[in-house]
Amino acid sequence: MGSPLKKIMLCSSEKEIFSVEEQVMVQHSVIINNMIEDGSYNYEESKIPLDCVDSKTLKKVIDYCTYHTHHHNDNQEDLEAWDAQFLNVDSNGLYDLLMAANYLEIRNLLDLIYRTIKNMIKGKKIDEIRRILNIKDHGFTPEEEEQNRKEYPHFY
Amino acid sequence: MISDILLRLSVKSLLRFRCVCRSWKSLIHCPIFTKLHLQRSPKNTNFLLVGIDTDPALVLSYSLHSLMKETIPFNAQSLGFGKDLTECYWVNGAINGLSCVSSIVPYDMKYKVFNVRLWNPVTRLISAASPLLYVERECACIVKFGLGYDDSTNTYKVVANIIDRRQWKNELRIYNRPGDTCWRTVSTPSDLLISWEEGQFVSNTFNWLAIRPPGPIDRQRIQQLEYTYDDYVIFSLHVGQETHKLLRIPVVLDDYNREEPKLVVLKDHLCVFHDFEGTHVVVWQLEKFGVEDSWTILMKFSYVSLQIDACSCSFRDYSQFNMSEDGNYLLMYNKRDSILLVYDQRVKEVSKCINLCNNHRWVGVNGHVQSLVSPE
Repeated sequence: MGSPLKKIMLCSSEKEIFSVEEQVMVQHSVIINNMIEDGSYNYEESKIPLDCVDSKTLKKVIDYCTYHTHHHNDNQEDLEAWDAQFLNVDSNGLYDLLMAANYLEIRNLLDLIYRTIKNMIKGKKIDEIRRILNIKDHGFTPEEEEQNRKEYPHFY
Repeated sequence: MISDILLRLSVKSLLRFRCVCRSWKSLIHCPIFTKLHLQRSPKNTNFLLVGIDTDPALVLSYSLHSLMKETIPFNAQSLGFGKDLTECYWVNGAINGLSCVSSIVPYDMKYKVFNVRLWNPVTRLISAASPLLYVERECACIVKFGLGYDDSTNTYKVVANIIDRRQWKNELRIYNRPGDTCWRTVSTPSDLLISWEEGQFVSNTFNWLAIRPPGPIDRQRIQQLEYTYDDYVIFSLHVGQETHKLLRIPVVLDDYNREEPKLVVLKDHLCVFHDFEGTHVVVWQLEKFGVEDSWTILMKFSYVSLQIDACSCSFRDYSQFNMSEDGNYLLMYNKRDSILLVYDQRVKEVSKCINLCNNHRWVGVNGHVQSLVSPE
């Protein structure tokens, strides 16, 4: 666990540098925690390069970690309301966040995103799910697809 | 990542989502996915109501939540058996979301012939029939099946308890799926008689109440219910090793004992229901399986609190006991009046009373987990 005042540098895919309280990232991200623990991060020189996370997404991820570090004693309802507001983004934004949370191994954010996507597709028809998740190639042969549509018309 | 999302969905959704794309379909059919999904499925929250005397037999799946809300539970869609299964009997117990049905195969004058199949009521897939089990007709036998599972070998175990009412002795036959091509006999001690209630499966063992009197088993005394609590033991058969053990039932200091105790599994614990002075039922729970000193009282309720019939002071008519995961509700089925009771432990009264009559003979209520597990 790092000291609360220490800062670490994160570098987005656009090479923009974000300075974050070390504790905030260490508490949430498994890979940053590992980096600090094994001493591979140098406070004077290192910037953690996050080549697959753009600035907009990285800022959101930092917001999430910061809020959850400082408000973890809040009641569950308030936290859930904040989370819902936080994830009020379009599907591209949600996808970027998912990728970033996965890369940085932020378990509670991943869990939140999984739950959100689950709720987006639960009870939906196949065509709607394909649209929501932007699935263009379903991989079935035309015959199989036709067979499925014939057999389960109410699914579509 | 997609599997993390799909794992959170219900079996019903997943069956539909197989059509979204080929990769989802392969994922949903993958045995590892099935196993992970099973581990996440809520336990003791869904119940199957099974009604027979209809063609096809009626099997309804209810969550405890919807049972508490509904007034008449028949407008739900019936899960139904396959049409080809006539004369089916429901085998109590459900494992990994699979149930078991037995059927009588028309055969010959000398033998009663049975087979069993595993069935997933949610995916509606049913296995091929087991090898045939032959029971001689002239023994006036009662045959009771039970379903179990051996974790270490991923084998389903069906046990048949065959009670010969002419000579008052048992024979236990076991069938492993996959693995066996016939029903094998398991040796049982000759000085005890295993009860004809269904075997209760818990902690890799089948358990039955058994009578083990000091002298020979006396047919007259069995019929007159003259045996006392001291004569009862629990006969416990380990499904992996196929060895048995005897367990003491909890000591009761009441010598009223008019009623035969009942062996039940509630939330993965073996329990014994005892009559207490003709006014109450005391439920004992074996906290640590196999440790006889760990019998503790789980709950106690009076016959009056069941409200069904003021003059009935007996739990003989009750069966199919299930407990909700939070321990607040005890479900029980009164087979005489076809009434399903939901007893709330916290306020010590029946909070829901569902009349299941409606021209079906209901064989019971089973707690079950919704799963994708294939019965084959």
